[in-house]
Amino acid sequence: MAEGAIVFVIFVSVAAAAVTLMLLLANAGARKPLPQSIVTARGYAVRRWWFATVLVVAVAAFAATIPRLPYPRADELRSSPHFTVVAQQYSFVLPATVPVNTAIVFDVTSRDVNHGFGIYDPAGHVVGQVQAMPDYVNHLPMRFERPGHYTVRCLEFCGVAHAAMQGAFEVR
Amino acid sequence: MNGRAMIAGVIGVLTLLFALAPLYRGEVELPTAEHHLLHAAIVTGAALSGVLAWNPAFARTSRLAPLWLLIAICAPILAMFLMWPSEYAFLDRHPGGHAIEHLGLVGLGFVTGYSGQRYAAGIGWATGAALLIMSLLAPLGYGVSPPPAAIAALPTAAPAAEEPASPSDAGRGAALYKQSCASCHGTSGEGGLGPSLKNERSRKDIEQTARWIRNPAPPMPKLFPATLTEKDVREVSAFVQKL
Amino acid sequence: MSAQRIMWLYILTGLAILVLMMLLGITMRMEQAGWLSYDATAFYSLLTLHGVGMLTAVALAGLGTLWYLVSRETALDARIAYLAYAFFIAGVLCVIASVLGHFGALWTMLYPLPFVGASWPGWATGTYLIGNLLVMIGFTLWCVQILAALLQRYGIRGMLGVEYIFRGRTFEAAGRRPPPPQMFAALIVSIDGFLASIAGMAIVIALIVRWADASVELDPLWAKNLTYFFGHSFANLTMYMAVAGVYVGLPLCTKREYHTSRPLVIAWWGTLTFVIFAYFHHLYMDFVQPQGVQFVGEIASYLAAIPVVVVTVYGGVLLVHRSGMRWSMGAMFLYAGMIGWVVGGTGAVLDATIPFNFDLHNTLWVPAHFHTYLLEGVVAFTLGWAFVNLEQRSGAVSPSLIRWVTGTCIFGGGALFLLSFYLAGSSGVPRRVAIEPPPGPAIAAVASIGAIVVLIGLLICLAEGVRLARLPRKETA
Repeated sequence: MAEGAIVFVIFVSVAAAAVTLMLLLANAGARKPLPQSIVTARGYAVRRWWFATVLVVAVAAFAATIPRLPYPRADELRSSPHFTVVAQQYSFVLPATVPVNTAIVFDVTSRDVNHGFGIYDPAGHVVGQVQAMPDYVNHLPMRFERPGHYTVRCLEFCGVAHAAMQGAFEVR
Repeated sequence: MNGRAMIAGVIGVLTLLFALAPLYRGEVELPTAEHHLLHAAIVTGAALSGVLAWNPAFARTSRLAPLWLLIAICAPILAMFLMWPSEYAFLDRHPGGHAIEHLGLVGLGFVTGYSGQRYAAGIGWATGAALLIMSLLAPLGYGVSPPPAAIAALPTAAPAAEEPASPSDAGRGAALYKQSCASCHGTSGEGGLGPSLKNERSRKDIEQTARWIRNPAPPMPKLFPATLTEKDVREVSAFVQKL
Repeated sequence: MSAQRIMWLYILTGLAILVLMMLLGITMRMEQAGWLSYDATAFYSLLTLHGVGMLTAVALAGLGTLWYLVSRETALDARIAYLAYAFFIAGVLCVIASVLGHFGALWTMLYPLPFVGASWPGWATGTYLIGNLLVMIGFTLWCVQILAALLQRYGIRGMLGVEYIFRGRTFEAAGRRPPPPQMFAALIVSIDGFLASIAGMAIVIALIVRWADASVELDPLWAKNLTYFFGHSFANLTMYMAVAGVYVGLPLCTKREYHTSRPLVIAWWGTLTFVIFAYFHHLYMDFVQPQGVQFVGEIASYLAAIPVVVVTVYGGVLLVHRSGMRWSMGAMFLYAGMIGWVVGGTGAVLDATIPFNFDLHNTLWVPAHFHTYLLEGVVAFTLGWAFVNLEQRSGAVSPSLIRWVTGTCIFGGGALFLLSFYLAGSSGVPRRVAIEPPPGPAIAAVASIGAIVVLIGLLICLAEGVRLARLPRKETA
C-alpha cells in the first residue's frame, strides 16, 4: 500500500473514533442529568490516564519517525553518486536516468524562485520531495527499488504556469 | 530629577555619542550584516532611554492614548525602512549623512519606547523589544544573501547527450523545446498556458523569434543566458519556425 | 453597549467576507473539476484573495469576540478597536485592488516570487505588500491593546497565573481568583500574535524595500522562515481567538460553570510556547534548515495537540456530558466546533510527522487539514458564539428543523468537501494548481458539490440569525 493510503486510513479511523466518542459523550444519558460536581470528579479521575495515553502515543510516534527521516547523513553524501537537479520557471533540468537499487543523492536547487522537486513513481504515488530554492542546494537522498518512468512535478507554487511544470527521468 | 530620569539621560547621551561615531571615525567600510548589528545597538539604547524617560507614576492622558499606541507601533516600522540596506554603501562614504541617518534611528528608537510607555505602563518594554527583534532579524537576511557560488556551476538545459542520433539543428532544437517550452506551449506547439506556436513563422521570422526568447515579456520566463546558451536559442528558434 | 456593537461589527464583517471568499473557493474547485474554465492568471489571483480574505475574515470574527470578552473584565478604549478595524479594512481593500491588477503570488508571496517572472504589473505587488502591512498594523494594535489591558488589570504574574500555580494556597487564602479562562485565550493571542506580527512586519518591510529598490537582495531561507512564522501563527491563533466563545458560550447553554483550573493554566502556558515553534513544520522539506530545528518543529506540533485534547476540548465535553443541555443552534455549533477542531488537528498531526510530510507536503492534504480546522472549528465556534448571544438576547431558540437542515448541510456537506481534500492529498494531487493531475479533477467535482451544500447551509444559518436578531429583546428581571 502506498504511504499516502496508509495515512488516509489512519486519519479516517482516528477521526471516526473521535467523532463517535464525542457524539456519544454528548448524548449518552442526556435525559438523566447529573450535577456538574459529579461529572467533573469522574472526568478528572479519567483525565490523568487520558493524558498519560496521549503523551505515550506522542512520544512513541516521535521515536518511530527518527529512523525514517528523509534527511541526508554525512556518509550518504560522501559515498553516493550525486545527480544535479535545477528547477526554473517552468521546467526542470534533470538527469535522464538514475540507477535502480542504488543509494543516490539529488543536489536540488533553483535558478529563479522557490520550486518543489516532487517525485512520482510509475504508479503515480509521491515517493519523496524536496524544495528547490535559489541560493541554496538541498541534498535529497533516494533509493529507487522499482525501475520505470518517474514523473517530476513542481510542488511549490512558482508562478502562472506552475501546474504545467513537469519533468521525467528513467530509473534503470 | 529622579534616578530613573538620570539613567534615561545617561543612556540617551551614550547612545547619541555612539550614533555620532561616523563624524569622528570618518569613512568606513562595513559588511551589511555588521552594519545592521550596529544599528540594532543604536535603536536599543534609544528605546531604553525612551522607556525610562517617562515615569508611569505620572497621570496618563487617556485622550491621546490611541495616538501614542499608533506611534509606538509605527516607529519600529519606520526604523526598519530607514535601515534600507542598499543605502549603506553610500552612507559608509559620507560620514555627515551617516550621522544624520543614525540620528533618525535614535529618534525612532526613543519614540518607540517613550510612546509605548505613555500608552500604558510596561508597553514601552514590549514595543522596544519589537524594535530590537526586528533590528536583530535584519542581519540574517535583509540585504544579506548567501553567496551564489554553488549556483554558478549548474548545468544548462543542453540535452545534447540525450539525442546523439539526430545531430541536425532541429533535432537538438526539438529536445530543447520539449525540455523548456513544451510545458506551456504544448508538446507540438498547440498552446496551453502559453499561446499556440503553430505557424509562428508567419508572425515572427527566426531572428525575431530568437530575440523574443532572449528577452521575453512576462509571464514568459527568461531562460537566456542562464539555461539556454546563444546556440540553444538559435536551435530552438529554428525548431519553432517549423511548427 | 458599545463593546457589544464593536463585537458585532467585527463578527458581521468577518462573516460577510467569509461568504464572499467561500464563493471564490467554490469557483476554484469547480474550475479544477473542469466545470468552469478561466485562465491560470485569474485562478491564482482568486486563490491569493481567497487565502488572505479567509484568514482576515475568521480573525476579525475572533478578535471581535475576544475584544468584547476582555472589555467585560477591564476597561478598553473603543477608539483603538475602531482604529484597528480601519487598518484591517484598508488592508483588505489594498489586497482586493492588487488582485484586480492580477497579482497572483498567493498569500505566501515567497521571496523572490512576487518579483521574478511575475505576470502582473509592479504596482499590484506593491499594493499587495502594503495591504499586508496594514493588516499587520491593525492586528498589532489589537494585540498590544489587549496586552496592556491585561497587564493593568492583573499584573504580569497575575495574567499568567504564576502565583495561582506556584503559591496556590496563599493565593486562594487571600481570597484571590485567577483570571477566567477566556482571559488566557486573550493573553496567548496577544503575546503570540504580537511576536508573529513583528516577524511578519519585518519580512513585509523587506519585501516592500525590495519592490522599490531591486538592488536589495534578501536571503530566501530567511524570508521563508519569517513568512511561515507569521502565516502559521496567525492562522493557528484564529482558533485560540474563537475558543473564548466556547469558554463563555457553553456554560450558558449547559447552565454549568467553566472555571480556571490549574491544568487549564498550565495547558495555556504550553500553547503559548508550542504555537511559536510549530511553524518549523512548514520547512520540513527545506533540507538546508538545521536538523535540530526540524525536530523542534515535530515535537512542538505534537505537544500543541495535548492542551487541546486533554484540557480544552476535554473540559468542554465534560461540561456538556449529562448536563441535560438543550440542543440550540448555538450549542450545536459550539460542540461541533470542538469535534472539527479534533478532526482537523488529527490531520495536522499526521502532516507534522516528518516521514509522512515527505509524501504529503504541498499536496491537497495541507488545505484538507486547515479547512477542517477553520471551517468546522473556527467558523463553527464563531457561529455558535453568535447564536448563543442571539438566543440569550431574545430568549427564543430556532425550530429544530432549521437546526437539522443547517447542521446536515454544514457538517454533512463539509465532510464531503473535506474528505475529498484528504483523499486527493493522500493520492499525491498537488495543492495550488489550476489544473490538477488525475485523480484530482474527479475528486474536485465531488468537493464542489460538498462546498455548495456547505454554502447553502451557511446562508440558511445566517438568515435564521437575522430572524433571531430582529426578535424583541427578552424582558430581563
